[in-house]
Parts: sequence; C-alpha cells; structure tokens
Amino acid sequence: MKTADFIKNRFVSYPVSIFLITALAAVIVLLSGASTLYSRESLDGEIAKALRKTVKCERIEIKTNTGDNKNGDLKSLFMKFVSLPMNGVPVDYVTVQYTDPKIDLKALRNANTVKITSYSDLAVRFLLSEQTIKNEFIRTARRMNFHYDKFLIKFSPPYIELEFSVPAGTIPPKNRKLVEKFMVNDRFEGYAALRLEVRDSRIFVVPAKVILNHFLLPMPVLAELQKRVNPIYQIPRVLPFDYTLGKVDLLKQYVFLSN
Amino acid sequence: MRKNRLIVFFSILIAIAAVILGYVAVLYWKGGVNNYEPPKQTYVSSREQVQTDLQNLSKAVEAYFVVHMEYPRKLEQLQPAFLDRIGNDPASGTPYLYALSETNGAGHYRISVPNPKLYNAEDLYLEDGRFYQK
Repeated sequence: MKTADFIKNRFVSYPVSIFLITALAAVIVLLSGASTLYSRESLDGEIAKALRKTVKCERIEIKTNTGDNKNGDLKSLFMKFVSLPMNGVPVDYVTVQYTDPKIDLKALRNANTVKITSYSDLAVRFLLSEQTIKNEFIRTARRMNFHYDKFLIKFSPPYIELEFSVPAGTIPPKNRKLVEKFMVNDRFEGYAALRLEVRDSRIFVVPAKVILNHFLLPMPVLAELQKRVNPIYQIPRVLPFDYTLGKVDLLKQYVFLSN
Repeated sequence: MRKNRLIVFFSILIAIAAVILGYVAVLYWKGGVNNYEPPKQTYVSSREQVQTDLQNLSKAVEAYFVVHMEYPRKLEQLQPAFLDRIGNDPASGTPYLYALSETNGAGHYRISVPNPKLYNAEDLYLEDGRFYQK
C-alpha cells in the first residue's frame, strides 16, 4: 500500500509535458529511422522481391555491403541469379555487381522496382556449364529433328572440341555446297576445335582446326565457313540491367562471359 | 624450238600437279583419327607464359566467386570444376602465390610469381583481374 502510494505520488508529481515530449521524441526517432534506414537484411529481401517481378529464374541471392561507410551508403550490391533461362537456354549463373551504388529507395518501397541511380562500376558475369550446353544440344536436336550418329562436345580450354558423324542431309544446303567435295557415303564425319569470341553480346565461333572425312580443311575453307555460320547466338539482355558482354573465356567445365 | 617449249610447258604442268597432289596428300595425312586434338599452344617467352597462366587462374577465381559468392581460400579449390591443373611458375618451377585480403568490406585476391627478379621485375602479379609488372 505504502509502495503503491509512493509510486502513484512519484508518477503524479512529474509534469505531463515531460511525458509528452518524451513520447514525441520517440515518435520522431521512429519515423526518421523508418524513412531513411533499411536494415541490411530487409534491404536485401526488398531488392530480391522487386527483382522477382522481372527476372524469372530458380533462385535470386542478394548481398549488400556498406564497407567502412559510416553514413550507411552502400559500397557494393551483388546480385546472383541461378538457372536463368535466356532464349530457352538456362544459364547456370548470372551475377551483376554494382560498386558504390545509389538505390532509389522510394521506387523500391513504393513501386517495388529496383532503380540504380548511379554507380562507379558494373560487373556482369555469366557462367554456362558444359553439361548445360550438352543437354541443350540434345534438346534442340530433338526439337529440330536433327539426326546424328555421334556428336561429342568436350571443353579443353581454350578450345571446345567436337567429334561428329552426321548424315549430309542435316547440313543446310548453302553450307553443304562449301564442303560437298569432302563428303563420303552421303555423310560427314570428323572433328573440330573451336574458339569462342564475344562482340556486342553476340557469340562467334572461330574454327582453329576442322577435319572432315579424313581431310584437314585448309584455312581458306575455314575462313569461308566462319563467315557463313557467325554469329551463332545473340545473348539477350537481362532486364533491368544495362550492359554489353564483350569477353568470353573457356574454363574446364564452364563458359565464362563478362562485360 | 617448238618441241622444247612443249617440254617446258608440260614440265610446269606436271610440277603444279605434283604440288597440288602433295598438298592434298598432306591434308589427308593430317586428317586421321590420331590428329583429333586441338592445336598446341606455344609461348615465345616464359614471361608470356606467366601472363597467360596468371590470367587463366584469375578467370577461374572470378568464376569461383560467381558460384560461391566468395573467393577461394586456396588455388586448389579451383580444381576440377574450373581448372585442370594449377601449374607452376616456369622460371622457378615452384607454385604461384595466392593471397586474399579485405578492404572496405570488399574481398580482393592477388596471384603472383614467387620470385619476380627471375623476370627482371620488382613485381609481377595479377590483382582483381588486372595484370601488374614493375
């Protein structure tokens, strides 16, 4: 009873204004915190949620880093997309890394859109595995009714090696004319060692060595073949990112593309 | 006179035919199954080989980062998915050096030769994809 009275008296003796000021200050702090600050985890989650609207893939991983910035500005924003289909071909990994990015937080919060208003550097990387390419070749051959007795693909950096045995009818007529003189028993068997190049997000093959029905194709024939088949693929851009792929490297089990 | 001209003419024809046949024979000989292998890479100098080795290692490290979102702790982690073999520095015969560091929350990697003096350089390394030699 005495304690209750004591507490009650202490409580009543404080001016009401002090409580009001304290409550107001707490509200101001909460509001300013909510409007300008995202915790790292919630920012990563919001960015991933916004990207899921435009980028359809198996999984999206986001990693933001403020480094030593005391003001909370981002030092880097790393986005990883796993198994991203591009024109039907599932690219195993695509990463987009911004350095010193400024994100439009209003657009992110209100419109659920990722808008990078400025950055100092952008690194885009694609990784396509050897197994994915093999699977895609089988799938495409089935869809196009392309018959073959043998078609082996092997990565031997910096070359892609092919061993093949295909009926002559599967080669398009305009290209078949070029190699008709090497045809034996209405089929083409042989080997090719190819290098890859990328220009303006278009993939080109450069044949380094081609053997067709026991004949090593001379350089002029290879040059003409190169002109006719290239570019072999136009890599579509992953929206909303703005980049052009310009480098390609062949690793043991991956094709590695970057800007 | 006319006979001599004819002899010269036919000799030239036969020589040309022999060259063409010889060329075709070489193409056929080089087209056997035992030639089903890519062209061999040759280096002009060991410095050129070092530059190529470091660039190949760098690409593999960057690709590892794409998959795992962190750089490998040691180069051996790049095998077998990204590299067949790590390789050694051609001048010293010892493994390349690999080091990780962190600045401002961001990871960096450096791959260098064990003894740059063997290449008449103070420093010979590759850092974050860029090649440096001083």
